[in-house]
Amino acid sequence: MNIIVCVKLIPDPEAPVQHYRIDSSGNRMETVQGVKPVVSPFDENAVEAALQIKESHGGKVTVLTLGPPASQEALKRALRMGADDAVHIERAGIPEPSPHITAYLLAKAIEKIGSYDLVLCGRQAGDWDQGQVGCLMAECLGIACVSIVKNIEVVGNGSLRVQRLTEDGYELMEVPTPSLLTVSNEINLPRLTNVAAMLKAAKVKIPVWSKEDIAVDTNLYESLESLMHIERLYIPEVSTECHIMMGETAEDQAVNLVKTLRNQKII
Amino acid sequence: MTSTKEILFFAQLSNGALHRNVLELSALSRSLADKLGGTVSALLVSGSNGEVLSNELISCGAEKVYLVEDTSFKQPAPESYVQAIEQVCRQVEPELFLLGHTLHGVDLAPRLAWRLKAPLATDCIEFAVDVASKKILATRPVYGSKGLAVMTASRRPFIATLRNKAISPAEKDESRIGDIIPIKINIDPAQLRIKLIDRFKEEAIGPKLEDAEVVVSGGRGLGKAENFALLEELAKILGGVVGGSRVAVDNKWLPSTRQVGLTGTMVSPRLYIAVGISGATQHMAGCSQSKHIVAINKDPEAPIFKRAHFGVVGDFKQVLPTIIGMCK
Amino acid sequence: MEVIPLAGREVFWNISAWGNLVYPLMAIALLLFVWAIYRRSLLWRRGKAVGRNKDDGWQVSIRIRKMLADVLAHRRILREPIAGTLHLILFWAFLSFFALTSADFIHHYFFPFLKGRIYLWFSLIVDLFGILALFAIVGFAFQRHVLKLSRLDNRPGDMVALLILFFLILSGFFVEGHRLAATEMRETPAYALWSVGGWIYGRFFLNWGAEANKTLHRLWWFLHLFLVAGAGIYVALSFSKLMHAIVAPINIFFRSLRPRGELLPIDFETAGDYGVSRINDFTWKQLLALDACTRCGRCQENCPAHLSGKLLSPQKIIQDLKGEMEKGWSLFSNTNHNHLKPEEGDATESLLIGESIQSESLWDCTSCGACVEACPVCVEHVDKMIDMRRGQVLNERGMPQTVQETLRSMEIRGYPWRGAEYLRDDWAKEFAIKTLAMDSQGDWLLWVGCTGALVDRNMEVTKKFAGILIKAGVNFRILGNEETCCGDPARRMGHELQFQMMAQQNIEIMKGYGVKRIVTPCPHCYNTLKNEYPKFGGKFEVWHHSELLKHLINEKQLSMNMAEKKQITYHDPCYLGRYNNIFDAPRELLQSIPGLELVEMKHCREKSFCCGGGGGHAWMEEPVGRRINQMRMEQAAQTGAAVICVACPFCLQMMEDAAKNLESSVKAMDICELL
Repeated sequence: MNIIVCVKLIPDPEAPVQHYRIDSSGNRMETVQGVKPVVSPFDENAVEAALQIKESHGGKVTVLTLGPPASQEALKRALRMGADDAVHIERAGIPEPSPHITAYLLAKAIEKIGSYDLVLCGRQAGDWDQGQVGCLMAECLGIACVSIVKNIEVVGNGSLRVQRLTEDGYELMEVPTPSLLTVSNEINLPRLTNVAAMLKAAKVKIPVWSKEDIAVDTNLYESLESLMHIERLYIPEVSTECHIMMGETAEDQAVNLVKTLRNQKII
Repeated sequence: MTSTKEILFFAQLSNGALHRNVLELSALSRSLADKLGGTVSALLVSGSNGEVLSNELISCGAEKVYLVEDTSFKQPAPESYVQAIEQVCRQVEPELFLLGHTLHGVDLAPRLAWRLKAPLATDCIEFAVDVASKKILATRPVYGSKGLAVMTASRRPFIATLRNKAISPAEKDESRIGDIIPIKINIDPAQLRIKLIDRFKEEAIGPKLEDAEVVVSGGRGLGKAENFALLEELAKILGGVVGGSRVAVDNKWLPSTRQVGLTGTMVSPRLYIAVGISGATQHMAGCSQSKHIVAINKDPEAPIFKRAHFGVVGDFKQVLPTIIGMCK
Repeated sequence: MEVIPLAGREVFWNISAWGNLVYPLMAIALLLFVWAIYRRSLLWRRGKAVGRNKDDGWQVSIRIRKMLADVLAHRRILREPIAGTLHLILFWAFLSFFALTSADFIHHYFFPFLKGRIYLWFSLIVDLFGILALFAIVGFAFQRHVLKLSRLDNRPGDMVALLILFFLILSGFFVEGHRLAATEMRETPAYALWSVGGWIYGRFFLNWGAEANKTLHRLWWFLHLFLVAGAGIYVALSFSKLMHAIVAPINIFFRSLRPRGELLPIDFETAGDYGVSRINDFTWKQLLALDACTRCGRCQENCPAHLSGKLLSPQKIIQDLKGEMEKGWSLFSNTNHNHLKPEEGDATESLLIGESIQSESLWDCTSCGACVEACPVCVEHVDKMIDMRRGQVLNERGMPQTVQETLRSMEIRGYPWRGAEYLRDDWAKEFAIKTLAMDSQGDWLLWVGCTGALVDRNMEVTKKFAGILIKAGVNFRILGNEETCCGDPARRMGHELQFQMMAQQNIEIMKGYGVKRIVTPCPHCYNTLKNEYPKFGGKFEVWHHSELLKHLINEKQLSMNMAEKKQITYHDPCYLGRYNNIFDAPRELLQSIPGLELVEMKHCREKSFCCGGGGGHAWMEEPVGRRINQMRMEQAAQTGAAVICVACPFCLQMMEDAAKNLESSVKAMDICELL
C-alpha cells in the first residue's frame, strides 16, 4: 500500500501557557526561545499507523508537510521513525490559519506525487485545533473520507475496515481505496526512532515544491485566500482562587475537603 | 439573492430524536438573528418522522424548517448528508450555517466547507455581532485552549460548529408557529463509497459523561487501571460517573468514551473531581465549565491548582478512602 | 640409645603395584575435565567478540593481581563473613591436599624432602585444614537445610557436591588413620599426634591389630582413589557446579576493568543487530560469566527489586540465561553445539524476553549495581540487563508504555520529564550567572541536569548550590537552554541510539566552548559525563558537587556557620557510591558542618539500598510489591535521624515521595542544603 501522511510542525502543545506568546504578526502564537517545536501529536499517530500498515502489507510511506523551512524537522522525524520519502511544500506569504489553502496545496502535492492508496492525517493539528484540513483535502481530491479513526485494517479487495469513534463507542466501516482517513490518539502509541530508519533518513533528499511546482489553479487559489480573518488573538488571563485544604495528614485534608464541600452545599 | 440574513442551524438527530444541542443552536441563532435583524431556520435531514420532528423544531425556536426526508437518510452517513446540506445551502444562501461540534458535525462541516468554498470556524464558544460592520464574530479556543481567537468570515455562508454546552439552551415553546419547507434532494450515488457495517456501543452504566452532575476523573497520577476502582466507588456514592484524561485513555485504563478534554467530551457537572491530573490546558478545556472543580494531586506545583476551586495536596490513595468513608 | 627414626612415610606403603592405577585413573579424569571445559567453551565462543577499546588494552598484570586477590585471598567472598570464612577454609584445605599430593610425588620420584620436621608440620597443617574443612562442609549443609537461607535455591546436585567433598576428606583420614594404627601409633606415637586427623580416627582401631589395619588401609586407599577419580569424572561429565573452581577464576580474570558505571557502546555503523535478543547475542565473556555463577544468591539477597517483592531475581535471570545457553548441549553430542555458529533450528535461537526471561523482570531492574557488588565471581549482571533492554528497544520488540513515552519525550523534547513547567534556565533568573554563550571564559561548567532544572523541589537545590558557588567566588558558567539531557535515562532504558545522539551533541557543544571542568549535583550526569562520554570523544574533568564543596571548605573559600543541632543519616547514591567509589567526600563534608551528627544506616556505603529511582524507574510505575523508596525511608527512620541527606536529585524525589506516603517525620535534604 502506498501511503501519504501529512504532518505539521507546531509549537509544543505540552508547553505551559506561560511559555506562549502572540507573535509579531498577531496572527499566530509561538513558544518562547528554548521550547522546541514538535510534530503535531495526532500526526505522529498517523505516521505510526502508516508504518504499521507498511509492515504488515508492504508498500511505501511518504510524508508531506506545508510550511516554512523549519517544518522539514517534522519530515525528518517521520523519516527517522521509518517513513521512506518526504516532500516539503513551501509556505510563503500564506497567513494562518487558512485550512482551505492548506488543504488545496496538500491535495495538489498529493496529485503530483501520484499513485497512492491511502492518505493519513491527524484528526486535528495541535496548534489551531480546527480539524478541517483532512476532510477538506478528501473533498478536493474527490476520494472517500472517514474522520477520527481508531483502528485500520486492510482487507483483501483493496479496501479498508476502519473503526470510527462515536460518542458512545464506534462504527465499523468499509472504505475503498484510494481514500483519506484522519486518526485519533486511540489508534496507537507512536514508535521510537530506530537505527535502520536513521541510517536511511540521512540519505533522503527532501524536494521543496512551491505553488508553481504543483499546478495550482490561481483562480481557485485566489478564491480560497482570506476566507477567514482574525480580528483578535489573545491569551486570556485565567485566575481561579484555589482553596487548598489544610491538615497535618492527607486524611485530615480529606476530612476538611468533605466538610468544606458540605458547608457550601456542593455535596 | 435575498437581503434578510438567515441563520440556519443543522438539527442533528440522535437515535431518531433531536440532539440536545438543537436548543443551544436555536438560542444562539435567535440571539444573532435579533442583532442582525434576520431570521432563524433549521435544516432537518431525516429518514422518517419528518413532520413530527419539524414541528418540534419550530417549538424549539425555528421560524422555518427545511425538511429533507427520505428513507436513505436513516443512517447519518456523511456522504449522503453532505450532499443534502450542500444543496439546501446553495438554495437558501444562509448568512451563517451552524452545526453542533459533535463527532458528526465535525465530520460534515469541512466537507461542506470545501463544496461551498465557504469559511469554517470549528469549536466556537461564543458569538457576537460587530456593531459597526454587522459582521458575525466567532470566538474559538486555539493552541490547546491556551489562547482565544475572534474570527470573521469574508463571505457567506459562514459555517461554524458550536461547542457543546457553550450556550445556554433555548426554552421550548409549543405555541410557536413556523413553516415547514420540504426540499427535494438529488443524491449522486457515485459519491456514496463508504459502507457502514456495524455499530458498537461501550457498556455504559449510569448517566452519560456529558450529562453527569458529578464527574470523578483520573489521570497519569493514578498509575494503573486498578486504582480506578477507588474513583468508581466515589463516583457511585456521589451519584456521578468516572472520566479520565487522555493519558488514562492512552494507557487503556479507560475506554475512549470516558475521555474528558479538547478531543474528548466536554463536561459541565456541578462537581468535577480531578484525581492525579496535572491540569494540561487540553484537559482543562474539557472540564473548565464545571461549577466546582476539586483537584487532588501529590504535586503542589501542578498547574491544576491554578484552575481548581478546591485542592488537596496529597496522595489519592490516602485522600479518597477518607472521602469515601465520610460520604458513605 | 634407641634410634628414633626420622618422621616420614613411605609413599605407596602397603599398596601393591595396583597402586599405579592412580595414574591412568587420574589421567582419564584430567582428560575428561579438559574435554568438558573445551566442549563448554564452544558454548561461550558462540557469543560475540567483545571488541576492546584500543586504549584499554589487556592490562594482564592488573588482571592477575585482582584474580589472585579474589581467588587466593577470597576478598569478595569474605564480604559474607561466616559463609566466606567457611569457603576460605574449604578452598585452602583442598589447596593443601593438592600441595601434599604434589609433595608426595616429588618426594617419591625425585627428591625425598618430606621427612623430619618438614613432614610433621606439613602433615599437621594439612590435617588441621582437613578437620576444619569437614566442619565447614557441615556448616554449608546447615546453611542450606537447617537455616534454609532464602538466597540458596537447593538442588540435588548441591548436596551431592557437599557429600562428595565430605567423603573425599573423610576417606583420606580413614586411610591415614589405618596407616597410623598399623605403624606410627605403635612405633613412634609421638609422631602420630602430628597427623591429628588420622590419629583421632586411628585410635578406635588400635586394638584391631596391625594386620587388620593394613587390610583396612589398603581397602580405604583404593576406595579413596576411586572416590577422587570418580568425583573428577562425575564433575566433568555432569559439568557440576563444582566446575566453578575452574570457570570462576577464569571469569574473574576476564572481569571488566572499566569504571563500574560505564556501559559499552554499540557501534551502529558496523553492528548487524542491536542489543541482545537471543542468547548468542551476548559476548563470549558474558556467556562465560553465566557458567561462573554458583547460585550463591548474594545478588538476589541485595537486590532492592527482589527484596521489595518484585518478580526480578538477578540469580534467576543468570540461571535462566545459563539454561538457555546450554539447551541441547552435552559433552559428547554430535548434533547441537558441535559447531561454533548457531544453525537454523537450533534450540538457542529463540527470543529471550517473553520466553525464558519475563519482560516484567527485565524492567524491574533499577541498575543499582548491588548485585554486581555482591557477586563473588564477577558475573556483572547489570550490563546483561541493559543489553537485553537494548534488544527490546532498538529492535522494537516492545517495552512498558511509560518507558516508551519517556523515551519519546527524550527524542522530542530532549528531557524525560513530561509536562515540565519551566525552561532550563528559569532557575537561574534570580542570579546573574553567565551562560557559556555569553562568555566562555569560566573555570567550571555547572552541569545542572534535567531534574535540577525542571522539577520544582530539585530547582531549590540547584539554586542553593549556585548560590554557594557564587558566594565562594567560583568562576563558573552554565549552558542554560543549550543543555540537553546527558542521556543517562535513555541509555539505562536501552535506547542506545538516542543516548549516542545526545552525547555527541552535548560533547560537540561543550568542546565548542572549550569546556574543561564540570561540576554537577547529579550522580547520573556525573557518571555519564565522566565515564561514558570519553568513548565519544568527550574527555572532561568531572566533579560531583559534594566533592567540590569539600574542596572549597578545605581551601577555606567557604566558611561554615553553626547549624542547628540535628542527627542526620547519609544515603549513598548508587551512581556515586557503588558506581564511582565516592563514599568519603560527602561524609567528610557532613562531618565538617558543626552541629550535625552523622549516624549510619545498616545498609550504607557499598551496601547502600537503592532509592528505587535508577534504571529509568523515576518514570515508571511500581505496580507490584512494596515501594522501594519506602523501604529505604524506613531504614533511615530506624536510625533515629531527623534528616536523610541525599546527594542525587532522583534520591531526593524518591525520599520526599516516601516521606509523604509514610507520613514520616524524616526530612529529605540534599547535601548542599545542609550547609
